[in-house]
Amino acid sequence: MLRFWLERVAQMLLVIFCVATLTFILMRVSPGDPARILLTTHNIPASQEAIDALREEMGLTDSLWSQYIRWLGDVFTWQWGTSYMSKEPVAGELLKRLPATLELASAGALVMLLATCLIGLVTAIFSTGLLDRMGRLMALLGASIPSFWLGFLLIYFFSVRLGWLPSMGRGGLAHLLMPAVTLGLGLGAVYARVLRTNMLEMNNQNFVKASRARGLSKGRILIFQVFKHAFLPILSMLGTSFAFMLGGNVIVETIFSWPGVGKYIIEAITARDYPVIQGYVVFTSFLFVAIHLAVEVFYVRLDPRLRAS
Amino acid sequence: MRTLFQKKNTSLLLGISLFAVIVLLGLLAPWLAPHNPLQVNLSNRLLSPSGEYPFGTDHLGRCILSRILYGIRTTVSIAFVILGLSLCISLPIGLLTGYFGGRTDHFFMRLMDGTLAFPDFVLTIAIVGILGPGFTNMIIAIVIVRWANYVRLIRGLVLKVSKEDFLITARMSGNSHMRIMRRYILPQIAAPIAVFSTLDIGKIVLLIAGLSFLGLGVQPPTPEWGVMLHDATRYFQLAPHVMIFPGLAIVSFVLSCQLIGDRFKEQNVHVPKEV
Repeated sequence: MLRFWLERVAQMLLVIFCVATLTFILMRVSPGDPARILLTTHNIPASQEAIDALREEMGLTDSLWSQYIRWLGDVFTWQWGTSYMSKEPVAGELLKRLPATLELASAGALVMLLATCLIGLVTAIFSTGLLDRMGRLMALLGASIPSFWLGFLLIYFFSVRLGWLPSMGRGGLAHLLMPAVTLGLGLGAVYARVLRTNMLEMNNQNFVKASRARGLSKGRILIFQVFKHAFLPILSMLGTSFAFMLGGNVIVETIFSWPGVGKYIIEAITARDYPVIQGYVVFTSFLFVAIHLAVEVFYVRLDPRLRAS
Repeated sequence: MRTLFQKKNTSLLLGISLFAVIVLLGLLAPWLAPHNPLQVNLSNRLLSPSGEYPFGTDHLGRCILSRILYGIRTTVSIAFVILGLSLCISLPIGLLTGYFGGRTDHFFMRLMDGTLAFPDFVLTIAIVGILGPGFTNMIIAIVIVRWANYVRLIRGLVLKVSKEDFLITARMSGNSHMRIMRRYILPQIAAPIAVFSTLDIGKIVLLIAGLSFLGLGVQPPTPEWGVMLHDATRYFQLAPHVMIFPGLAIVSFVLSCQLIGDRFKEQNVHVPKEV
């Protein structure tokens, strides 16, 4: 068991190492001199002497190898430099915005689960007929409607037309509602289809037939046997979809001016704030690795078969 | 059973016709568009739909219908370029790793696991962010993100075909590896790859539009659906038509790809399930 976890952790460190290396290569390939960009960001005239002095100071004149080794050390000690825009350490800037992002992603995951269960159950019970067709249409639309358009539509109807919900910023539940729906609804409709298929397949399983023969009530069978077993695979997708939502966050946060990591990175990219951009890449890779590890711990708890092997 | 089959046929037919109509509209854009998509006319800004401007005008007084029609050319052709590039990379890798296996195969599988662990959008944004926003960098980023999916698909298909009797016969009758791959494996796997690609075109279009919406992909004033929605951000609360029509364009195109792919997914033409 210990070996299993050690292997997992080693694998994840390897992923971060690869990401760090890729980032380093891309940074060197990308056009633009960091020293010049830093100077222009602060409106200092970029004379050749100033650039040379700054290059020396930033360590850009060292050999590529020593820059690379230093970068690797920085990655694992969470020293990702200081932001050009705010002159604050990048790691702190990102951590400061993480709670807002996690709040939104969790709310999105909750909306997704609710939509999955609701649409999935209804379409599985009425598996032929109008409701089921609508479920299928919703799944297709859920996979086709881009989140930025859904966000616009929601803002237009609920903020502009009806004036019920605030269209931007972070605050109470009212602020959270529309961004969370934008983030989670589409994926929920897609998963509902998976849940429906799983439930219909469960119906023909022997243990369900046996319960039916023993005379258990229909509702009991549906909830405690069919739904329970059909839902497990969906639950296992939750880790992946949570990671997916942290990515989808970038768009949703931009639309709703949500003060999280996603909105920040777009601002940084527009301002060519290189330390923040590379910090974001490393930061998200740490985040995903942590999520994957948490998911595995969760599975092993949930499924005794995994514990044995 | 019969009605079920017919229903699926209609949706496939619907998907194909929608796809064909959109591509045709894009091809005929110069003849169909009522105005020049780049013509700025500030006295006509934010007009509601009318006979002169069927979909209204945007914040610079440009005709939205014309911009959407030309947008088909931009978006769909970029999507096909990305698809082509990704296949150029993945087809040889997928064929070789699936056919020979061994250490190279192991190496590429690990590499792909790493790439696939990241959600598409995060990785694309990271790459575009470092390389800098723009058309070419967007294409590079999406190719880097998507190629692993194709390698996995192609490798799986090759592994499946390799177990078939006719392939063992081909091998025993002394065909060279090259000939076996070209004459026996490729024709077998071409159809599922084509199906998977159609499904994927929709996803690529969503990525292109999403990046352009964030200002990281196609740059204004090029007519592109994501760019149009980006421009609409500040004006849609006053004039909702500036976002409704470009959004509908994206949804109908992606939906047509979904409808085509959906049918095959249900028929199980070994298209791997995707999250």
